[in-house]
Amino acid sequence: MYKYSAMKLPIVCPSCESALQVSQMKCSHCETTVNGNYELPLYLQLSREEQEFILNFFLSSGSIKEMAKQAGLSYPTMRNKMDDLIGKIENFKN
Amino acid sequence: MNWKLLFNPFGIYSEKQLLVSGILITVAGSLLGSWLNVTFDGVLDVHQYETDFLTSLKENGINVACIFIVLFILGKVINRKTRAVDILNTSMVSRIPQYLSAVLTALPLLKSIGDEIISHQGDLQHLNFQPVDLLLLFAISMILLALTAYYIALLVNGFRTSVNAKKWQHFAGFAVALIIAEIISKLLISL
Repeated sequence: MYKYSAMKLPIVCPSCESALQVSQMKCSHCETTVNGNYELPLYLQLSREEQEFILNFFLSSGSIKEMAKQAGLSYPTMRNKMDDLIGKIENFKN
Repeated sequence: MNWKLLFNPFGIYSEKQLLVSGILITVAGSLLGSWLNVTFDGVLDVHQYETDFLTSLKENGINVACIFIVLFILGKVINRKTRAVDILNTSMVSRIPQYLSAVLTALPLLKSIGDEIISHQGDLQHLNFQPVDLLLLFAISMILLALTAYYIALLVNGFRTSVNAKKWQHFAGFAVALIIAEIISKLLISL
């Protein structure tokens, strides 16, 4: 299974728990910075575990059965996780 | 202790493993029932009664079928992705505590207490029980109650996993479905 690096991108405000936005981006090569007010892409608004879930789904060729096998869980448990995530993304989009 | 394994094996094992286990559990439970002379005359019932393997297997088959049908219909109403095999596995594997209850139900102490009560029908003031018997009766009753609670907990967890049930309305529906399954199974077994 794919694992992320240790640094976690914060997606909610630690103070009021609202969704965070991107205000600055920086080129690590020439130090150029871009300032603005950008919304996080939908994928990045998900939690780290949810992003990992989607990536693993992609890497297992879209097979929930295969994912369940790898995670040592039953098929309905994995399908329920998928359905919950679909519900969450649909809420984001509406 | 692995609580998930104990209370929700349906979240861990594959449908094939659960199906094979469920069939073996049902056959073993029926053998135990016929060996101990315990009847499973309803989805929630375990009583002392002379029986044989085929009758016991028929009773357990009816019980499993009744739970399966009502929970599958409810499952499909809640979530159209509900699979028959997951509900069937829940119906069969959840019954382990019922088969364990058969061992306690078959204890001679319960039979002697039952006989004592029947012989004093209409004259219950003159029942003659030893304090040790009453203590044992209390302990057995508590264990049987715990096994019934465990059975229902397994059913709830299996149903929740199969259907992705979350709302209180889903669990209220489950309770009604279980009562309906009990009534239908009692009627079918008594035929």
